[in-house]
Amino acid sequence: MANTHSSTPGQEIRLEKLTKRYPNQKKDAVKEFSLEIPAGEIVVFVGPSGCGKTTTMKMINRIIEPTSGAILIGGKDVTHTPAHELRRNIGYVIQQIGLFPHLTIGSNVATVPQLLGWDKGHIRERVDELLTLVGLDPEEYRGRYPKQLSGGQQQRVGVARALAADPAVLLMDEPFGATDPITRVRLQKEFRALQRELKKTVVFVTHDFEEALLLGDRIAVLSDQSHVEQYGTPLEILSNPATDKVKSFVGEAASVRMLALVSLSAIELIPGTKDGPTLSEDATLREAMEKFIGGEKVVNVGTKGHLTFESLQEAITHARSKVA
Amino acid sequence: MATVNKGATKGSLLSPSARLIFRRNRSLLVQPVLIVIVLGLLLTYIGNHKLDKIEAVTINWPFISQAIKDHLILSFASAAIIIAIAIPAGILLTRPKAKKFTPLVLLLANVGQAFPAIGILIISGILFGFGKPIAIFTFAAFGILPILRNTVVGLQEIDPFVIESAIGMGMTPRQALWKIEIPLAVPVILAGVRTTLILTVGVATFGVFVNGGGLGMLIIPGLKLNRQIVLLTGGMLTVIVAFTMDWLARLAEEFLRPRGI
Amino acid sequence: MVTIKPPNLWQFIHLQHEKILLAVIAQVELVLLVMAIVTFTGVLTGVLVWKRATLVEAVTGFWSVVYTIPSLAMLVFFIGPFGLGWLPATIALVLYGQLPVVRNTIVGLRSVDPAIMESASAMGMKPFTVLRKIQFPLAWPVIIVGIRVSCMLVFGLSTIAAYVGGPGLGDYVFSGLAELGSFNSMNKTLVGSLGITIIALIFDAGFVGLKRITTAKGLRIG
Repeated sequence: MANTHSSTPGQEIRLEKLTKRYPNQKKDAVKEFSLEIPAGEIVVFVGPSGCGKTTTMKMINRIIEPTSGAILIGGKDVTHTPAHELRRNIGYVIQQIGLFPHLTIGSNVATVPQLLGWDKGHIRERVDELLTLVGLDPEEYRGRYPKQLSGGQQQRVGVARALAADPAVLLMDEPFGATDPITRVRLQKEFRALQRELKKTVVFVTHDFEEALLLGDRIAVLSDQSHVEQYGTPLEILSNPATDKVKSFVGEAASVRMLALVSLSAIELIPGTKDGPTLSEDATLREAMEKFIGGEKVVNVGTKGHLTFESLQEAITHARSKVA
Repeated sequence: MATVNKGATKGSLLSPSARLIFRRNRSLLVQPVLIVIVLGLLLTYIGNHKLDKIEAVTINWPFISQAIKDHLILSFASAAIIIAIAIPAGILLTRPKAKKFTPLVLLLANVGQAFPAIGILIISGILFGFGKPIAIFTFAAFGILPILRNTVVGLQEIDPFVIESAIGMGMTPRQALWKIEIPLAVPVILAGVRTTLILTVGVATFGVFVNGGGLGMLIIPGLKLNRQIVLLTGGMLTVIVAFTMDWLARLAEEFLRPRGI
Repeated sequence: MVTIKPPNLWQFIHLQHEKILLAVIAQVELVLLVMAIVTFTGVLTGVLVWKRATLVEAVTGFWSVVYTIPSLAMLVFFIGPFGLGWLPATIALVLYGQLPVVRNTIVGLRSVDPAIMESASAMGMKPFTVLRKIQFPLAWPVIIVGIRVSCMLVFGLSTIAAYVGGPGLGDYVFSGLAELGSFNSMNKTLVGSLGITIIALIFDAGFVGLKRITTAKGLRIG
């Protein structure tokens, strides 16, 4: 996926004490969920099955109506605006994809622009633009039908369809769940690159913590009734899990996984370069560690400085203490 | 003595898209072949048989054409009523607000089906009188519940996540119904139309019992007067009409099915 | 002068109860006979063809076509060779009953996850044993629904079969018609129709219970 084009920047979302109670149940499915989601960031709701994360996400566009609480998008209270108007400005991608089988791929993607009344030429352009964006050749795929596409391709169309009307907010519920692990990693990486350009506000639900680490700017670890165990950056959560529940979710080897989250530009280097391989400043501590494990004694970073194994260890300790 | 050219080729008469459908679904060719064979047998049979006085009363073109006409009237009229009531009702019954009534209606449909058609017809005849109009309404009444049930069950099988996507993207419930749900329900509806036609064509043979006409007018007298040719002619014509209706309905299903399903 | 009141339904049933009982027994016998044959032949057909798609299409297509033949016409074709009476009625009913059973047997057998059967074979089970112990029990809930549908169908059609001499309560319906205008015309028709309906519903309820009893414990919901 690639390319520059203008995109409506994301808006901030504030959720205030969202509660969902179903009539025949004793416990609330979601109890007083409050969160501030900064504009332009991907916030991942992660937690075990049944914790209510999908329900919470579906309350943001009121597919599930909250029993009580408020939703504010871009400062505006949308808890009671007409639902279908709200939804036309929010992109929605679900795990089961839900492409319309009787419509072509092109018509599927064009759905919301058509609902909004865009003119035909504009719609056609937009459809082609989006298909290219998600890596599908418009000439080839525009006229096909969902059943002719593979699972991974259908999922890409799902994302294109959600982005069609250029919404400021995107809701995604395990969107890459129905694909094989290899395709999933590819889709995750492509989506991350896409979001760097588009800068939408994304609420992303998953039960896969690795996916959360990869994609999230911030992660909300949820437990029963969508109780927020911890809300922070991936680095914060890995280095300082707040509760036992978060610890058990994070699992083992947190330190090693943290290496992938810190870039070499953020740490102190020994000045000067020496004999040895060079990594760019954008590379992460993990890549430097790989070199050392491979037997290198010195790793240069850009043109400014280098690292030894000992200096890498110090840098890691320093990074962890910064977040504590 | 009429001869039927059973060997007439079909290929050259069809447009390319029609040929594609026949190739895709070979079973569609079977019925026309059967129809032609039965018709051929019938005509040969009649042709080779000298009719006695009693048989000639029924085996003649005016009588037969009237019987066929009446049969079609009974079938189509009751089918039209059934389709006009049962299919919209089926759609309404699957709306969120009506969902609580669905189990009750399905239960009634199952119970109602156990009541024999001929029984309803005769009771209706005794109560309300004989003749075509009563027959048509009775047939319609008999057919509404089964078609309603088929429609509801078919609609329930549509992937709910497709509908959720539609609502999630900002369609109003009515837009989602007309743009997404109903097009996806077309195969179910067409199947319902076809089932209705088979039902009414079959049940129209009973029209004779209540002075409604129809092809039963050949079968019953043939039975009562013990004239095999009348009996068999009635039977074979009934089969021909039934197969023709079914075949046309299947063609409609194939041609009208939305692409991609 | 003596005025005679036409008997109401209950009085009629009371007066005629012996004859009605005989008709009920005949009706039940007919349905049981037909269903026994239908179940055996239908399930057998399904078991023989379910694996091969072309055969499935051919067989299902054939019985679908049979199904569209109006009942009166079908009965009439068998009167020639077999005369009037229970034989043509039984044959016609058996033919109509095939479609639901054959179709559901095929669908049921196909619905069993191939992975399950593969693991059974991998454990060393012979093919027929896999069918008997694993696949068939798993397909049974669907199959028995097919048998139930077929049974209801047979009840409905048996009424018209009475016109050509078939046994059962259908005869009352046609007597009622033949005696139109007499005292008992409506009574007879009602006895015939309601009788068949009630017996059919009893059988239907019986199937629900039968399904529950015969379905493997692990499959029962709840």
